[in-house]
Amino acid sequence: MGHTLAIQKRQKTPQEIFRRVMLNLAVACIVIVWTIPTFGLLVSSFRDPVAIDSTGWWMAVFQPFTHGHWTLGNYIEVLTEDAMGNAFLNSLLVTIPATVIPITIAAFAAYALAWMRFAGRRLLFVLVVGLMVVPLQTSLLPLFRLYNDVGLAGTYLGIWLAHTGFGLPLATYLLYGYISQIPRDLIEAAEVDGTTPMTKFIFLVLPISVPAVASFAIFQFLWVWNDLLVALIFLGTSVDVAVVTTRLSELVGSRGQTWYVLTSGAFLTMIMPLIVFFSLQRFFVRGMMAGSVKG
Amino acid sequence: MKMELVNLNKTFRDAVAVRDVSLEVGHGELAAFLGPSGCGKTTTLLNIAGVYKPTSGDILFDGVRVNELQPKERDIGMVFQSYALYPHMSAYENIVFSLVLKKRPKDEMQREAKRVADMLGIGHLLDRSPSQLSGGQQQRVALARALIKRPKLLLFDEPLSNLDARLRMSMREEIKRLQVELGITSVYVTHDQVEAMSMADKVAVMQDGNLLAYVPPGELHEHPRTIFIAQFIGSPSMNILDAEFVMKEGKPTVILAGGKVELEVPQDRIPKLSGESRAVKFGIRPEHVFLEPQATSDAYAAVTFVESMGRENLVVCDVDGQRLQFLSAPGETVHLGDHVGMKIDMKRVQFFDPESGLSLLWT
Repeated sequence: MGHTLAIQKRQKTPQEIFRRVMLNLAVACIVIVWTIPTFGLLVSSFRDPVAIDSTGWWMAVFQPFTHGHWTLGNYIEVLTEDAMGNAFLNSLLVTIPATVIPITIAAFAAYALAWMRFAGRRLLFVLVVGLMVVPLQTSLLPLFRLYNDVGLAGTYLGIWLAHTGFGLPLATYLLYGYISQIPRDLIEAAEVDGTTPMTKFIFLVLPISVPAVASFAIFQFLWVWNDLLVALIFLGTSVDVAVVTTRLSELVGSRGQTWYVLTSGAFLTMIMPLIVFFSLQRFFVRGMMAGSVKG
Repeated sequence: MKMELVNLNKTFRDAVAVRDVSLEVGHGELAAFLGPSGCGKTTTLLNIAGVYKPTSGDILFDGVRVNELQPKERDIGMVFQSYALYPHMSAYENIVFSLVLKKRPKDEMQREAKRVADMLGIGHLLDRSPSQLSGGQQQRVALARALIKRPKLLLFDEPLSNLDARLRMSMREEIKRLQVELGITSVYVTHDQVEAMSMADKVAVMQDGNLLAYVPPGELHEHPRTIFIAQFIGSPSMNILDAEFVMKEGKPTVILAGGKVELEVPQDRIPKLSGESRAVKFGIRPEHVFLEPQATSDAYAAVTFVESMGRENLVVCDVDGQRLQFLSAPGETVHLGDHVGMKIDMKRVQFFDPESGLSLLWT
């Protein structure tokens, strides 16, 4: 109030400009180094398999007409492969429930751990966090034997449960971190307004936690979509259930004879994660909590 | 509704937050809970709201024990310091949320929302989200949300402390006006004594979980029961000096500043003491000390600090090692390092027991 004079924007000194330029240069370098392999893969995916084997992808970039040998053959080969469409469907059938189920459970759990009082709450939380350090690989074999015994091996339910189990600790932990930070006043206001623990969760906690839920959804979706190990073990390679990653590794062959199909395959399978990422990205609205509480 | 607390105690693990608080808020009254932060006033409020359950003691609404009732069963409205608006809902959705939970029909919601929004002058803001509202507007929405339930009891938890000074004054008036118009029994928690004194019918002063006094504002100011209350109420705060009370030549006399100052005490201000002479704490408000030419002054001291308060100056003196502050009238200029004479209005003095801090005048 009263300060009618705006502070003049200060001129930047040469040192500051220099530092700025250096910083941007460094960032640019990292980005380039980071994306070179992907770029190389993209170039290769449009080249003839023979050309891929004889010259490096950079040759195709620098001398696109003599060394390019451009073709869409790799894409056509993957797309026309009989089981590929089916594999896409299978991947979706695995990934969507394997994302939704753990997030749903984790949201409820995180809310209870953060805002409800019950005996053993802390112990339970420590247990969940502790489970994060258990490597997935150690539980594969015992789980596989268990699945065989109860008949879950090779079923969708089986792989949903597996991904849910592997994803839950981190999901619960992340969502707990977010949900426990909801201002106490908001929770108390909702109680005075007449919520039950359930309606409080549905109307208040869940909508507020959308950014956290969305970010974990992306993580889990990418992880499950790109996963080969868990799918290979619990779902198997039979064409009617195999997911995209399994299918691709089958295509490549046991000795990697036709590895070039991976180049186009990689970009085709990338489409789905990109769609998920860009559609959920809008939930990362900065300052979701702005205007709710002050002080 | 009449609200009573009977020997209310609230303990968190080992920490006692509220100790044996008993008081009664009559129908349509506004009671202010006043105290420094951490004194237990908000904890008491949350007990009344039902967010906390008392460790022992009873909470009575119209004589009925409500200890076990959930917040939503208590017919209360609450306004939070942080406003606590639901960030993902519009102002309208915030206001009608309690009706949504009760599954009331849409037209009733709209009617009720209009009623409270008009009362608070926020009818044009209902479509906005909380983040698009200013602090004062958010506070009104929070108030509307509390009022739409037609509560029997309104609870305020430092509702104005996040507003700027001018807005605070106007909201203070508005809340008081609404409270009187609607005749809602209210409990108002604040650390701002001006707020408490100007709004409340009765002020409950709390310190360290104890209820020190529960009296009308005027009495709190004029008849403070303890040194804490005396110094907490009123700004600038009351001077407290070490003194001795004696009967000198048959006259009740107070001796200050290690014997340099002797003042006669009027009949109605004689401290209740068991013996004839005793050490006491002598209290006098800054507004009851005046500049006086040295010849006729009660005390004479060096000025150690002068603070301009706009209309008047706050002058701080050193009286035999003790701090005495008073207000100089506009036009009187006092400088740092000056020696000034002072006159003390003996009809306004207070006496306290040096050990217990209890008043020796009022019990």
